[in-house]
Amino acid sequence: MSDLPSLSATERLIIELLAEHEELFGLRMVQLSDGRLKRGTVYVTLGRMQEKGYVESRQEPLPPGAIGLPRRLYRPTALAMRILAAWQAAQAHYIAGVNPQEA
Amino acid sequence: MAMLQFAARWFDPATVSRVFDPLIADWQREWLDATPSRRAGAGARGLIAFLCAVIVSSPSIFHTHAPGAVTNRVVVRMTRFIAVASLIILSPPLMQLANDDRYLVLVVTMLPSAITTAFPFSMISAADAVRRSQPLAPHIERALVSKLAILAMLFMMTFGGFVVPAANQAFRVVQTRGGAPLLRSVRELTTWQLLTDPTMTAPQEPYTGGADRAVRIQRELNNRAAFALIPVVLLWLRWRTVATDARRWWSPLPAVVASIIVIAVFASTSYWGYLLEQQWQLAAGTGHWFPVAVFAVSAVTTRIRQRRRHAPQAL
Repeated sequence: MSDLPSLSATERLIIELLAEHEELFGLRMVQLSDGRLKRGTVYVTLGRMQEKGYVESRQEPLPPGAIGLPRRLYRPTALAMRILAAWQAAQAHYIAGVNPQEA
Repeated sequence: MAMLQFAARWFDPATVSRVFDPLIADWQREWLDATPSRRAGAGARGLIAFLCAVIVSSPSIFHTHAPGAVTNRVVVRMTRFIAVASLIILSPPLMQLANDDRYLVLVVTMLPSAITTAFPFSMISAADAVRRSQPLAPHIERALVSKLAILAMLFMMTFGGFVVPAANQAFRVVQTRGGAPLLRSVRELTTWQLLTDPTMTAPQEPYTGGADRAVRIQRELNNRAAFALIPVVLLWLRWRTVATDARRWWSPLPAVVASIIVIAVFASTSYWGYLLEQQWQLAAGTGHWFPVAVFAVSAVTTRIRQRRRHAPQAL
């Protein structure tokens, strides 16, 4: 059981957002999450997800003459998408079991 | 960029690249894209997010380990210093008690007090062991020093507040050969006892200028609190002084010389603190904070001098 990849609620939300939008900046995820993601912690979560292999990132190419650091774009990995699908299937199965009439 | 430099000094490169780089990049872009009237808000939100990220990521500092050789060197130098200093502190009573049949027991009961007195000054040797040998990455160095500071403070609180008072009382019991129960002065009561049951303290004590119980307890608690902070302040001061980029042929002084100077400064500022407290009729125990303040000001001054030295020179 310990080999099963873990997925917290925040990580699931991030993967769902990324699955929907393909590629996002950290701050954009916060804006799209309706307050469920916090700006002070989203980057820490993204860093952890990158370590786990759930997301991959690339730096935004800066146009010539642009100032500041290049932003980082995140997208979900195939592993994250499989875990999300498994989680959604488990969730659907659980809901169906609890309330069969609604399933 | 100052934020990124701060992060790079405290966190490992992976955390900086995964957490702080994207946070600051998004923050910069938000600020640049905002209208002038909204820039203050964008700046404040970014700063709060940065501080949150620092707090959330801070446990990683305590998971950052220095090479074993460095920690061993720190432990060896501190132990060596404490052993020598404790021996010097204990020499007069050791000679006085040489013919006493309770010699060994008395020495054992005096040892915690000597170690606790010597311990804060061992931070000078510790800082040297960290910074004067092979250079460590800034985040490793800071992690090591932060852990050392916390451990030193905990040691002082435990020994100064509990072990030393118990040992002091044991010394008195042995000296009176287990006679009638002795009234305890503030130095023979643990911090917990001073805080929870002040009536355990003797109503009067010699050499206190007739100070009442409340004043003596307040003075002792201030003394213990200030003394617990001394190793942290000394570690910070010495760490700043031995910065690799601030070395001169005469500075920093060797650890032995610096330790002697610091002990002399501590003794004199403690005396001055006591005098100022009496002269200006300050709250009891305020004078114990005077050495802490002097060392802290000295560390801040050293930092400001280093910053000025590295500031870009105007043409």
